[in-house]
Amino acid sequence: MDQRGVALPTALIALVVLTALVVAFVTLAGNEPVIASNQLRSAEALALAESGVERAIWALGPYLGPHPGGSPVQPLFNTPRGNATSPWDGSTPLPQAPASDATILGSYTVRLTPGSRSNEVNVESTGWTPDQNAPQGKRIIQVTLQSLSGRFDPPGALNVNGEVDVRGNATVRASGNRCHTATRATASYSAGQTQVGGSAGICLDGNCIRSCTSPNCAQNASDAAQTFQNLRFTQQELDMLKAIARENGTYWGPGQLGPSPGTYNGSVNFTNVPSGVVFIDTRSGNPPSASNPSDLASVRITGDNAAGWIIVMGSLDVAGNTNYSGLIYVVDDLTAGNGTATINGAVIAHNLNNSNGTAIDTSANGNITINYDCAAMDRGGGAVPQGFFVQPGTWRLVSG
Amino acid sequence: MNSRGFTLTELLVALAVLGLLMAGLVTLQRQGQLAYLWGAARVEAQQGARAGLDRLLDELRLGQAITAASNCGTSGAQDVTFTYVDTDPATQAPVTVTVRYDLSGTNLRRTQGSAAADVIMDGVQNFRVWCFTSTGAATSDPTQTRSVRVLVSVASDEVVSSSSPFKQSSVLESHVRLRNALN
Repeated sequence: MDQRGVALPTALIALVVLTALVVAFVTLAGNEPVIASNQLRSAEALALAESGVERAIWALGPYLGPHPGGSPVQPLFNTPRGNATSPWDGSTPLPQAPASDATILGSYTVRLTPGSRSNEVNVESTGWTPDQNAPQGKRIIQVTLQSLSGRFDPPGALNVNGEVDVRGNATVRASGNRCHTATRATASYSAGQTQVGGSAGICLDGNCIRSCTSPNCAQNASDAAQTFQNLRFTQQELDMLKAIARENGTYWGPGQLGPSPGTYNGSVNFTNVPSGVVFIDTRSGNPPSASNPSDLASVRITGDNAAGWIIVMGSLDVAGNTNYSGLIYVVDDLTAGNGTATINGAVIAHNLNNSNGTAIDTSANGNITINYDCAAMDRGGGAVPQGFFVQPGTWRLVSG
Repeated sequence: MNSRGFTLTELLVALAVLGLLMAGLVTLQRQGQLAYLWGAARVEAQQGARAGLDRLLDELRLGQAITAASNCGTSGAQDVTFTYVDTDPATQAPVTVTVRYDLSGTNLRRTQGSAAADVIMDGVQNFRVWCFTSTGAATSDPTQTRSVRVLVSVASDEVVSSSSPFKQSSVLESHVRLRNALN
């Protein structure tokens, strides 16, 4: 009798069907972890590269200037400027955590090179995961860091892109070298004629010129065009300073007003100058333009002592007994009349609106004293933010 | 040798046992299949949203400025335009790109410059962007925006009943700081 039955074929068919299902499922399921793992590695490498940028910001610390010191990235600021030494030349991976830490994801390498300006450093940070030697994930961030300090290397205490008249008992003083180059500083540096009269003095290393009316008797520059180009904030920098002033300083301009809100008409009178970054904008808030002089701000400061950076999108009159430590940056004219103001640091006046013909662009009168002081200018008397930060618009991912 | 075969009773008992066994197995298999379909549909819904959202977040992370995003301080913008710093693949030089993301029906669209819009995600039920200042306060002023929160809610676009395993939805959210914004 036939006893073959159907158990074996049934079992075999079921086995084949089940095997096919399992193979299909395993294939599908196997792809998912690969995709997920790739995404994870990429995200980890990006996070590590970001850590590298943050570590560079920490390592750079506050800008120290071109002075010998213990900073590991000193060559970036020496003259001539060189590349950073290990590990900041990208040669040595910096661990994300001690090697004993089981949660370690990978490492990053950071390469620092001098930026195009004295206050800029270029950073290339590469995140590696799990390891630089056998990376499964790699991301590269390039970014430029900048510091407010170290931006300018003014040749003199008073720098005017036009004519200068120093009268009354005004004194403009400098001694020693410039901030970032090993050349002598001058007291007054101007693109045009400099006149000295009354009991005023332009003093270099203690030697004062007290009487001078003929053109070019004091410092007058043949390289003025390039020098004043170097002493000019770019529009991007002005936008950044405006943002800093809005958030951590004092901003006067349309939209956001200073201590006493009202309709902003471009005219500001400070009886007490605030410390920190002070930005006084044009009436419209647009970039200052020589073709639109009525848009420029008109600022007068009197009163108390202060420290910081004053940036005026127009002209500035210094009066009263203000004792100011820092940088005064004026896109048009500077005048100093009554009072016994003292400015330690540097003054930069760009004489944007030159339509006033032969009139004096900057007039230091009364008893004002301007002393060349690099540290005070760089650090705004200690009242402007120190250290490096990301230059807006420079953070990007590159392939490699 | 006994070659009588099975009795009817034996066969009925065997059939009943087999029937019970098969019913259990089919139920088990059906549950497994439903779970798999549920998971697969969910993964698909999430994956599509994740890919689109990742692209938006990558670009926002390199963002320079939000140029337009109405109501982004309150109910959330459904249409956001911003600039970001890209790298030219050939020259490796930085390029500033203006891009707009907006919701058209259930399609999330990306428009670069004056080019035609690309659909980067479909089945989008909700797309919102909220703006924050450097101190973390909500703002509707794009010029003050330093970070943004993005919410994307997606649903699988098959027309099925709400109890179907194919009907899956997913909400993804992230908060990103614009690395190239003013400080």
